[in-house]
Parts: sequence; C-alpha cells; structure tokens
Amino acid sequence: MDQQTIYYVFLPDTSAVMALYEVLRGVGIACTIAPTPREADHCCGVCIIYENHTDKGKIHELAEAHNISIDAFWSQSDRNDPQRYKFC
Amino acid sequence: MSQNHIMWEKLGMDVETHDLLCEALPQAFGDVYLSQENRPENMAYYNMVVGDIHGIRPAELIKHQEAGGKIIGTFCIHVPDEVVFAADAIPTGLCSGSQFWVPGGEKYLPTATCPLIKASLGARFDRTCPFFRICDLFVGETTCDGKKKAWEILNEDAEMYIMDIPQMKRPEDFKKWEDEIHGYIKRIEELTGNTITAEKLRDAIVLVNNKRKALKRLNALREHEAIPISGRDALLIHQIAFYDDPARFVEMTNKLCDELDQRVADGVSVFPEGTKRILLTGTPLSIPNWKVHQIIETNGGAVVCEEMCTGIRYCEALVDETGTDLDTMVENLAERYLGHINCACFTPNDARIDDIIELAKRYKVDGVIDLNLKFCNIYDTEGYFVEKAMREAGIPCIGIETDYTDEDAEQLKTRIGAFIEMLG
Ligand code: SF4
Ligand code: SF4
Repeated sequence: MDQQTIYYVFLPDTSAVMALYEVLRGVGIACTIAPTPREADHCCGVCIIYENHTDKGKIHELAEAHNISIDAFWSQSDRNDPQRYKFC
Repeated sequence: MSQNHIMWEKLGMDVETHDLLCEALPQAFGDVYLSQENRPENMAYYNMVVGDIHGIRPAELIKHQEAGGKIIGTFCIHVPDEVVFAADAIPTGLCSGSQFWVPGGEKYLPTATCPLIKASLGARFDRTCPFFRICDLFVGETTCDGKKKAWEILNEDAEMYIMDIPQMKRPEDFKKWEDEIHGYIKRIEELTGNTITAEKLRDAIVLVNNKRKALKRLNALREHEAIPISGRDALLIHQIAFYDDPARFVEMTNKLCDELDQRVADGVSVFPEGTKRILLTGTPLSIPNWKVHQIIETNGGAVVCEEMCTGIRYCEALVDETGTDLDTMVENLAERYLGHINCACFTPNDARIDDIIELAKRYKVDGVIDLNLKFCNIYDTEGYFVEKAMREAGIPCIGIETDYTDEDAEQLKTRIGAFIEMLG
C-alpha cells in the first residue's frame, strides 16, 4: 500500500459496501473494508479502502455496471501509527 | 440522520455520548489493524463487522425481535448458548472491553472492581451500547464476587436470570450444574413461549460446535512456524464470535482458514524471522480490548495462543453430539461447560496449569505472559501457581496487571519489551 496516502470509497450503507467489495475483489482490485475515518464526516460507519489510486476510474465503472451508487471518493495521508497506543 | 442514529434513538440511547465512542474507533482500529503488513484478505469481513459494530448486528437482533424472537445477553462462557438457540432466540455476549464505559460503572460500583464488570454496568446505565438496550433478558452467573454483587445492581434496571455455578468439579457439582441448565431451559422456554425439544437442542449443539470447530481450525494454523495471521487478528475474530450470527461466522472463518492454509503451504508468515512466540494466559479480553496484543506485537513478539475465555477456553472442547434425549444432552452440556472450562473461579484449578504447559509446547512458545485485569482477585491469586509451574517447566513467564486505560501503555511497553528481549 502507498505509504503516504490512503484511498477511500464511501457508500450509502453497509450492504452497498459489501456488494462493491465483492465486485472489486472479484476482478482482483486490492482493497479492504474499514471503519470510516472520523475526519471524513460520512454517515455510513464502514467504507472501502483501495490500494492503488490508479484503480479509481475502474472502481467507478464497476460500481455503475453493478448499479451500486457511490457517495464519494476520498483520500487522506496515512495517519495510522502502531506505536500510538491510544485505544477506544 | 443515518440509519444507525435512527435505530439508536429508538433504543433510547444517549446518542450524543455514544457518538464519542464511535469517533474513537476508526483511529484505534487503524493503528492496531490497518497498520499491519500483509494481513489476510479475508479479514475484510471482520473489519466490516467491527467497523459497524453498533449497527449491523444490533439491526439484525431488532429484526429478530420484530418477528417475535427474543434476545438473551450473557457475560460468561459457562452459560450455554445452545439452550437459547434451541428456543429460537439469539444469545449475544455482553462483556465490555472499553474504558469508555468504566466511569459509568464506577457510579454504581466500588473503584476496586474489575474493569470488565464496571464497563458492563456503565454500558447499561449510561445507555451507550445498543446490545445492552436490546436484550430481553440478561443472564448472570456466580463465578466471582464482583459479578455476583453487580448483578443485584443491574437487576434494578434490567431483567436478570442468575445461574449458580459450582466452585468445584466433584460429581455432585456436575449434577448441580445439570440442574442449573434444566432451570435455564425452563426460564428460556417461559420467556420465548417455545418448547426446547431434543431435536432443537441437538441442532443447536451442532451449530455451536461448528463455531468452535472453525475457531479451532484457526488456532491450529497458528501452531505453524511461519505464523499466517497476527495474534491481533485472531483475537478480533474470537471477540466477534461472541455476538456474530453463528452460521455466517462459521462460513467466513472457514473461508479465512482456506486462505491461511495456502499461506502455510507457501511458508508465509506475517512476522519477521526471529519474532518471539508468546502465549497469553489470564482474564478475558473483550472487544475492543486490543492493548496488550498490540504492545506485544509491536515489540518483537507474536501472540500465537490465548489461554483465555476470548481464546482457547471458548472453543477448544466440543459438546458431545451423540445424545438423543434431552437429559443426556443436558448431561453432555454440563460435562463440557463445567468440565472443560478451567476458570480461576474453581478450586482447585490445576487443570488450567496443565493446559498452559500443554499449549506452550503445542504452540512452541518462547514465553508466557500471565495477564490480569486489575482487581480480578481470583486470577491474580492463581498467578502464583502459573508462575511457579512455568518456573518448574523452564518456560519464561511474567505477570502483567493492567486495566482498560491507555495510561500504563508506555510502562507495559518497557516491561514487555524487556521480557521479549530477554527471550534471546
Ligand atoms: S474468566 Fe471465568 S468468569 Fe470470566 S468469562 Fe471466563 S469463565 Fe466466565
Ligand atoms: S476478570 Fe475476574 S473479576 Fe473480572 S469478571 Fe472475570 S473473574 Fe470476575
């Protein structure tokens, strides 16, 4: 994964997240599901993270082809710090 | 307003305060989980379940209630889920692992109470956990003094049923636990209006055994020299097992294990060579308590096994599936739920010490960390035997006491880091 930036796809609800995730995995796009970052201020609690920003266009096309509506694409610098030791 | 917010409002939750917990989760999850290298792809499912922990499953439970079903909340792995499933009700684990709920619990309980109990009461009284709002009945047990008394306080606000667990494992204790299970069956039948038949109970035994088998398969994969999954991921899966839909959980966990089988065949490890293999033993680590795993795994260690209720103790032993009549099945449940859970609430509890030594060998561990939640007197006291037995067996061991706060993280890092370094 790009060390500097994390790329997100936001969708309206968890079933849309699951549906798009299955589609993306089916065609081999490197991605996972994650909690939506607080800074994104998006209402659905989970979102998709994809590894390569060059996949954005393809993700858009695949979502359209499968009738899955995307709320937004988003990115932010990687703030995950395994040594922060702040839990919830 | 999101669907979740509408649901939480309807449940009478303190949504504003609860939002603070929701805000803290993504970063903590990112630090512990998304920062890991080479995680198995199939962890995506568990990411989703925990990412929307107060949305997906609560909505499913409410749907079950709307169709006339009941939801039963439990706090201990001695309480048999099979009874609940056999009555077409759904059990959900309720142990709480976040500091967020502790101050709420301290309004009702002495400070010198274990954080697990304080968090449970805080989650209910502060109205900041949907699971604690949804349950039609809460099932407590008499395992430790802290819980026993806390149930009386919880009972002021919620409907409770208490199971009286024997403190020893003599033949008469097994008989007593069988009687308790019969009593539990009666109470659940009353609540649901459904009769628990032998056929229904047998199906439930198979269902819950399948969950255990999937977790056993996962744990067996961690025995390999090349460790295909981190301890943090394995812990998360065990934590989710307590409340996820069992059939779906089995499917997803077996799918993950297929991926891990391939990793084992390819010799893929998520840890660099030389990482020390650690067995963690002690008190349970309820969701989202990931602190000690994170500290171990960012300081040269890999947790390969948890001799805990959120680990081996939850899944290792199966219930005998051969019983055909209700009484035999209850006997088999008692045998498994009393005989094969070696909690520090029993005296004597030598079988736990034997388990730790056997697991240390099976998982080829370099060291054992005996973890104790602050103010858990029974595990703290039993630590004497754990450390003594490890010394005699020549297995390096340290005892660690902690709670849910972040405050001791640096101190734990120093102690755990020094212990791992000492393992050579
Ligand atoms: S540690 Fe003992 S009391 Fe606590 S959940 Fe486990 S078996 Fe139950
Ligand atoms: S960790 Fe110890 S004190 Fe806390 S609930 Fe479990 S047995 Fe009781």
